[in-house]
Amino acid sequence: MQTWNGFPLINDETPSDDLFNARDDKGVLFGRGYVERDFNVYPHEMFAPPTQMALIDPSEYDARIEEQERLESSMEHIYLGAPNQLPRFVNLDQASSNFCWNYSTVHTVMLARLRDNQPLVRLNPNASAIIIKQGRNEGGWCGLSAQWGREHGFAEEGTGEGQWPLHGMSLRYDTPALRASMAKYKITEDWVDMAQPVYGQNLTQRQLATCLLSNQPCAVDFDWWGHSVCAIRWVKVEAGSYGLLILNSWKGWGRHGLAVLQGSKMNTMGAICSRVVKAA
Amino acid sequence: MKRIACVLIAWLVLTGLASAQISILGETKVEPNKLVRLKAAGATPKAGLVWRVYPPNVDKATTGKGLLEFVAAPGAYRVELLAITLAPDGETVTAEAAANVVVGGDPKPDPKPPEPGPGPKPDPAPIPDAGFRVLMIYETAEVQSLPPAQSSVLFSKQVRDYLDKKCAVGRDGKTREWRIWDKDIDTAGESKAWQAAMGRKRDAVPWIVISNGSTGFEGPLPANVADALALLKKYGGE
Repeated sequence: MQTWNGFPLINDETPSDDLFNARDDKGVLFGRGYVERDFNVYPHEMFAPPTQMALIDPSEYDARIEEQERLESSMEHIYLGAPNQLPRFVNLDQASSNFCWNYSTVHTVMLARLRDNQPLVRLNPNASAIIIKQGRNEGGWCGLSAQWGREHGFAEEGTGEGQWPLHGMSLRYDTPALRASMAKYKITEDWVDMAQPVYGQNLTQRQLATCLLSNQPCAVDFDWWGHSVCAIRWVKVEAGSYGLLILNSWKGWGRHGLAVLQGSKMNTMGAICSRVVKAA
Repeated sequence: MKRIACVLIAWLVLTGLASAQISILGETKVEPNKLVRLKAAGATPKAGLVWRVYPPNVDKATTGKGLLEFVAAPGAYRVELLAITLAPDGETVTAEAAANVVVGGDPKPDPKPPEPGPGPKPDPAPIPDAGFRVLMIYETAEVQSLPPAQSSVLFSKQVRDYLDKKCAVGRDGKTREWRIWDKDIDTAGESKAWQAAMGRKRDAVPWIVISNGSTGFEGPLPANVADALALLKKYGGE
């Protein structure tokens, strides 16, 4: 696979096998879980973007990226801010589940907390996914998990009271204590196209670029990949060509879970930006 | 010439890099409802040029490369120009210039982010708990409109490393006691000390609260990383 700055570079030349048949260190196929859009069921909607967002002009992208490099001030720098450029936390692992659409949004919450210097708390997207899907291992969209994050918040990973065990798939963990704990990890401000149904909430590339250049992580859905991941930075791959630095929810994949999407591979079918999360 | 103010073409305030000098040419004072016309000078023909105006609430005209034209309400405006070129080794090189433009009669207060000055009160400690604590407050929905040098204060490694090194350890025994928060963040789950710090009166955003337990500072966020570090070190030490 091609690389850019040490990260896998995924573009139109990337063999599809590298993306659709990726496996973990035990040989198990990674799960994905974005529901490819059946337009008979989920019809196309007119796009009504969040209009309040002041957009960064594309002519400023290079200067802003250069400033981020000079001051090591991007979300990439913050995430890889542990000694020896290691990540401040290991990326979440959806294993073979179909819950990518929850992992992408929960990654945005963990990254926003990291940016704000909130205590590191490992969250567990399986909880919200299992509750939303009533115990079924089903796909969805980042707009759906973001809606849950606004209304209920996300669960801590763990086996204590009010926590959800790693990769737990049982509704029996859904207790009043869990719900009380989830409320500490709500999304309180975000950029979402609220005029659209959850499967159609998307951001334009200029909106995505503005959010990412402002260190506001975004959950992004890709129809071509059948997958949802977290975008953490708007990067310049080469002169005149930009890409999305993404954090995947596959254990051991990419460089610390990170890779770059370029060209048509960065065209989103869904996107939300978690701007502010509750302090706890 | 009698039309002194209107026809004065001057080299304006320059902050260009020594290695690649560029400048902004144009009129320093413009009458109300007239077009501000500025021109980039000194940039190579292939340079990418970026104009920025602060505050940004001006109407820009569509102009050719190297020109900036806008109409704005009476007041003082800071104009920045970035020229970006590619060096032979493929690295990008940025040169900068800046100018202050006044539209109309008496200018409104300087639109530059206020420097941390003697105005805000240094005493007593805004966060009474012992130890060094820092809170930066900003509006996440508008951070992209801040001057990039100022928004970098919120995210730069130098500032974060300093805070990690100097701030007290929080109640979890690991997290250092500094926060960078949206002005409307819900702090119900945070400690009383942070809730109280967030609830203190502030005149604007972005804002910074610095406390070492005995004295401190509350005021506008410094305009750049160097100023921020100097201010932090005043209360947190080298």
